[in-house]
Formats: sequence, structure tokens, C-alpha cells
Amino acid sequence: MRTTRTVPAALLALTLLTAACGGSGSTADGSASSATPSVARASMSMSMAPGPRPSTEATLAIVSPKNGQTIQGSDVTLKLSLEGGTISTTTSSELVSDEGHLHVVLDDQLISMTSDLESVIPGVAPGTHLLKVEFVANDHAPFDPRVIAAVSFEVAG
Amino acid sequence: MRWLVRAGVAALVAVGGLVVCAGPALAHAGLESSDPADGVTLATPPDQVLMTFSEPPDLTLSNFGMLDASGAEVALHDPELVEGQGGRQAALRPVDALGDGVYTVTFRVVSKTDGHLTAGSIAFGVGAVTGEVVPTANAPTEAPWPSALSVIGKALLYAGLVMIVAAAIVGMGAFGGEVPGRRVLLPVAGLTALVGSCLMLVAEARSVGAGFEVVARSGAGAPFLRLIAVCAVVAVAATIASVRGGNIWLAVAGDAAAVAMLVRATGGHAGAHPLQVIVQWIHFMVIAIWVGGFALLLLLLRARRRSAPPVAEARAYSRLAGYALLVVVASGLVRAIDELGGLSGVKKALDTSYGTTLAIKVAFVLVLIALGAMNRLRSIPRLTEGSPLLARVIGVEIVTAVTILGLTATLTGLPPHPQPTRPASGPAVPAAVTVEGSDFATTVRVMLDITPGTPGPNTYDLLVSDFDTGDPVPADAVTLRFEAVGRPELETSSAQLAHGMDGMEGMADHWTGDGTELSVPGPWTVTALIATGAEATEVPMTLSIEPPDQQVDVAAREGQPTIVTFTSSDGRQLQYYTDPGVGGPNQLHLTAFDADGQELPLTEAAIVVTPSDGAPQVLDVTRFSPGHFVANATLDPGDWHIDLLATTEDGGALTGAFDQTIGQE
Repeated sequence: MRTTRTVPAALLALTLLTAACGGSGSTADGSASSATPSVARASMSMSMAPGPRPSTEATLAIVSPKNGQTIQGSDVTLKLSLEGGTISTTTSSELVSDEGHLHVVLDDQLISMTSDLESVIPGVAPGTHLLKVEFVANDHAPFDPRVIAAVSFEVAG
Repeated sequence: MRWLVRAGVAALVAVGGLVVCAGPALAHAGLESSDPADGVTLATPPDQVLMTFSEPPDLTLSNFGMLDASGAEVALHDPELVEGQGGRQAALRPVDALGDGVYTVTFRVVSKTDGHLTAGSIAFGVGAVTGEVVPTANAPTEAPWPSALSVIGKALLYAGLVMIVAAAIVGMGAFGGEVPGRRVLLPVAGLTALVGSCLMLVAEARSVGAGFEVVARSGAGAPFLRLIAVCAVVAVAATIASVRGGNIWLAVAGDAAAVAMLVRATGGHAGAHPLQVIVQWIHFMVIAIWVGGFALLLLLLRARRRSAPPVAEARAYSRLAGYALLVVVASGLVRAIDELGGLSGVKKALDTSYGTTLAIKVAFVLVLIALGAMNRLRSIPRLTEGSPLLARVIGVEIVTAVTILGLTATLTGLPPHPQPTRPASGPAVPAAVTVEGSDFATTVRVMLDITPGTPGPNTYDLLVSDFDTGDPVPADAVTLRFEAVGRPELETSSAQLAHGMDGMEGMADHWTGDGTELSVPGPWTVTALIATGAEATEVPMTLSIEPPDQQVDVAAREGQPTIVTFTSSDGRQLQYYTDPGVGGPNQLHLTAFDADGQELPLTEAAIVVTPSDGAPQVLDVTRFSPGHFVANATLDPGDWHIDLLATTEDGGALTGAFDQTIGQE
């Protein structure tokens, strides 16, 4: 519903830039991401200035709960194993490879941000749940490639 | 032939009636001037901002504020009235020296003279200013419509006082001391006036958002208290007069009502000028004789329906009413010249809400005059034959008079300021923000251009067209209402637009105006209120006001959420991404960084998402660290507009807005 008189030009520029920055495996139209933002403002200048996302060799695994595990009680103990990465409590746009913190996503809802490899997720309802944990960079955004571990577990009713 | 001459005189009187109606409408405490002037850029920061109003502001009930271009509130000392200038000049002094930039001064002022509320703003620049500081000298200060309670209160006050005065003057002067229905009429009229005066105080307290005690102690509340006190005397005297015959207590009640009308005149806009107070008071009194008299005559006709008709009384009243009408016109003309600046002022006033109400009232006044002429020429002569025509016509006159009373009560709460009209000439500045919308019933389509689209002064150009045909919609009035999303501390404001058709070829569907309502960066909900006849259509739109020179960086990579970073001119950044950015559950991340790249603590944050075919949704956000907020939301595939707002601990705001396509899962 929103338009500006320069939106067509902005969209065109963005499309070209997106294509130019697309990594290997980009589709023919260059839309590396399915989410293509366009800036709906004429007065703003726009660029793809930020460099690539920081890379990492880190690997992340969820030790507990195990995939398919049934847990008694509503408190779920989360144990993680991170190799090749460094946990940092600093949040900054100055990015360092292999350094970051953890985002915990339960059933597609971000529920916590932690720098501990062991924590408790309280109040989990009975039923089957999908748990994802991501090792993210110091600016709260993903590494490239993303470092995500996921398990499905069940809380007994 | 003689009848035609009289009709011509009646028509002239009707024209006079047009300005008669303007008499009590008056002008509120509007901003006359400011130093610095609206729209100027100063080389050095001013020590103070002087604002001169048309009437003395009551500082105990008024609010002033100053915002910088980022929306941060500028600390001010308590406002002070400057000596001289009749107490109409207020001084605002910043606690600290103002730095370079654009500043918006907002005010919400209650007039000490009449208690009316007026709101508005000015903008000025200091030092090196990015962008243009657009003067808003033509923009009116905003005066809200009077509340229903205020209109009812005034209508009751006028109705009660009119009947008491009419009973005293017409009863004793034309009816030989007879007041028909005296036992009921007098106490009811007195009580009605008293209730009306009390309701006016209640409405005043509500309109300024203060308690009774605060209002009562304020300068603006004093006229209301005086009015209530005098009306109480009126009610008591009228009650005594109702049970005791004779003219003494009737005269006391009439005198008290006349004093109440004088108090009301001093509490209106005429209060600033003693001569105008007297003229206004005379205006009230003769209207009471004219309008209240025929209500008494109707009661007299009913009282004597089984005896000889009151022919002599009707003729005596008719003569009295004729003279009263002439004085009504004369006093109304004087008041109109004073308030509106002559006939040119009347013409400009017709472009306002006030003018619309005025035109309706003039139509009713015309009807009333025509009915009066009919009575004089036809109904009264036939009264000797026992014709019921006079009673019937007076019945219609009373209904008309009650309607006029209601319209008058409304008019007294409206300012007769003309609406701003954007000059047809001048350089065409490209619109910085354009937003479209339609009403829920898809009957009206609008497109709003906002220039320059930055915080502070902007011009508005709203195109209003039929949703299906695209033809111009014949709207009577168009208002824009502005609400800052996620900023409850900022009051809702509005701007009335002027029809761009006058003298502007091809502008039949355009409504234009100026204003500083968009005072801070960030997402705003702007609602176009389109009045057509008795119907009103609302078209909500969401738009973003960005600080000038904002840098936007977009990082999109395979397998990664697209990250958008907004960098302000001071180096502070707002980073955002939607994860995973496909239809279904998503996490929407917002993080702020200072100029050194460290996370910037925020006091609050807002994320507003708007689908291409739906209404804006303000998402619940959760804080995960001092400068990192996340909203969990389910987004459908399609085009979305996303507005971001982050408020920093120093009161500044970081904002961002962009469109994003959410792909299929």
C-alpha cells in the first residue's frame, strides 16, 4: 500500500545488489533470500555496505534433552556442547569469528538468550516440542553458515 | 408592495444575521506570533522562546513542550508570563543551551479569558540545519470541537436566562405584567440556567484535563464560578417570583439574569475589551427579548384559548421584537467586525468548521425572520378572527429557536480562524513520503503526500477520490489525525485541511494543509477523517517519519536472514532481521548500537508490521538484553511494511522503516 516516487528505482537497485551479493548456489534471479526488503523511503540512502557475516568453524550439539526423549516434569534441563566457538557476553557490531552467544528457540518462539552451556527451561507444557539452539554472533545475528542444533522431545503429561 | 419592501428589509436583516451569529463565536487563545518566528533558522541559539497569544494563557492549566529533531524532549524551565502585553506573552526558557538542529515547540493553552483550549506548534532551526525549516505561519492553531457537555451546558444556560429576561421585559413591557405559566416557567428557567452554568464548569475541567479544584483556583475557572454564583441568585429570585405575584421579584430575577448575561459576556472573548463586553451583553439581552418573547406569547395564547385572544399583547410584542431585531443586527455587526476583522474576515471564516456551522445557523435565522414577518403581516391581524395560525407559527419558531440555541452553543466553542491554504505558486518540492489507503467499506480511496517527510514542519496534500470511479469525493471537511505508534506520551493531534479547488486548476480532489504534527521520527498512524454531509469516513494509514540523512544497509545472503541496518547521522545504528523470513512463525530481531558499535541500552522498542492488504499490527516485543528486543510473530507470505522504533535512555529515538516480502515456506 505504500509507495514513493522512487520505490521502483529503489527496488531495481536492490534487486541488482541482491544479485551481485548472492553467494554460490543463488537462484537465477539472484534472490538468495526469500525475504527481500525494499526501503520505502525516498530520502534515505541505501547500500549493501556491511561485509559478509562472520564465519565460524564452531559446531553445536544439544546434549540434553536428547532427540525423542521423554521428560518428566515441566522443567527441562538444557545442556549444550559447543566446539570451536567462544562464548562472549559482549554485544557489539564489531564481529569476531567464532565468538558469540546462544539463542534458544522453543516451538518457533525465541525464549531466551544465554551465554551458559547449561540452563533450565522452566514451565514447558506437556506434549511434543521442537527445541532449536543457535550460536549467533556478537550482534545477535547468525554466523555464515548458521550454527543451529535441534531436537524434538516430549514432556510427559 | 409594502409587503415586498418589508421582505427586502427582512432579507437585509438576514444578511446581518450572518454576522450576528459570529458575535459570540470569538477567537480562542490562538498563537499570534512567536520569537523565534515559526520556520526561521537562527545562527545562534535563542535564550528563550516568546509566544504571544490572542488572549492571556492560564499557565496553571496550560502545557508547553519542546522536542529536538530526534524526538527527544528538551528540558525547559517552568513557563513564565512576560510583564506587559496584557499577560498574553509566555516565555519558554531551555535549561541548557540549544545545539544545532530543528526544534518543535508544542503548546496546549487554556485561555484565562474564556477557558477555551487551543493547541498547536511552531518549529525553528538553530545553526547548521539539515533540510528546510518550513514556516507554518498559515497553519491555524488547533482548537478542538466543543464537547457535547459544553454545548448542552451553554444551551441550557442561554435557554434559562433568555426565558427569565423575556419574562421580565416582555411580561412587564408588553403583556402588562402578565407572565403566562409563571409558577412553573420561572423556577424551571432559573434552575435550567443554574444547571447549564454548572455543566459548563464540568465541561471545562474535562476539556483541560484538570480536576475541579485546579480549575476553580485558576484564572480560567474564575469566570465559571462567577457565572454559577449569579445563576444561583437568578434561580432563587425566579423561584420567589413564581410564588409571589407582582413585579418586584420578577424585576429582581430579570436583573439577576441580565447580570448573568453580563458575566457570561465578560467570560467570553469579548472579555478583553470593555466596550465589546457591553455590546455583547446588549446582544444577549435583545436576543432574549426577541426569541424568549415569542415563547411567552405562545404560552399566553394557550392560556387564553378559551377567552379573548391577546391581540393587544401580540401587537405590543411584535413592535418590541421589531426593535429588538434591529438592535440584534447592529450589535452583532459590531461584534463581527471586532472578532473577524470585517466582512473579509467573515468570508474567510466561511472556509472553516465554524463557517459551516455558521451557515447552517444563518439558514435557521432566515427561517425565524421569515416566520416573524409572517406573524406580523398575517398571523396577528387574523388573531382577532380567532385564527390558530399565530400559535402554530410560534410553535415552529420555538423549534427553530431551540435549534439556533444549540448551534450558538456549538459556535461559541469554535474558532473562526480560516484554514491554511497552500500557495498555488512556489517551487514544487518532491514528496518525501507518499502513502495510500481506503476505508473499511472501500468507498473512498486516499493518497497522502507529506513533504519533506521529516520531523517538524510538513505540508500535507491529500487526494480523496471515489474508490470505484476515481472521481473526486464531494467532501465537506477533511481532517488528518496523527498518532505516534508506540509513543503514548505524545498526544494525538490533528490538522484540518483546506479544499485545494479554490483557484487551483485540477485540484478538485485535493485537500491541503501544513503543520508540525509529525514532530518525531518513527512510525505514525495517520487517519483521514472525511466528512460528507452527515456521514464521516475514516481512512487509517501507517507511515514512517525518518530523520534526514539516514543510511540504510541491506545484507542478504543465501541461507541467512536479510539484515537491515539503519545508521543515523550521529553514528548510532538500528539493526533488524526477520528470521526465517518465510510464511509462518518468525522471530523479529531489533538491536541498537552506539557510534562505537557497542550495544545501546534502550528504554523501549516497538515493531509494527503492516500487511499490504491489512491494518498495522503493533507486536509484543520482549527484551533479551539492554539493546536487543525480539517479537515472535506469525507472518503470512506476501508483502509487509515494517516500522521500527527504539527509544534510547537519553530520550532520543532510532527509527527504521522498509518493505519486506515474506516468501512461501
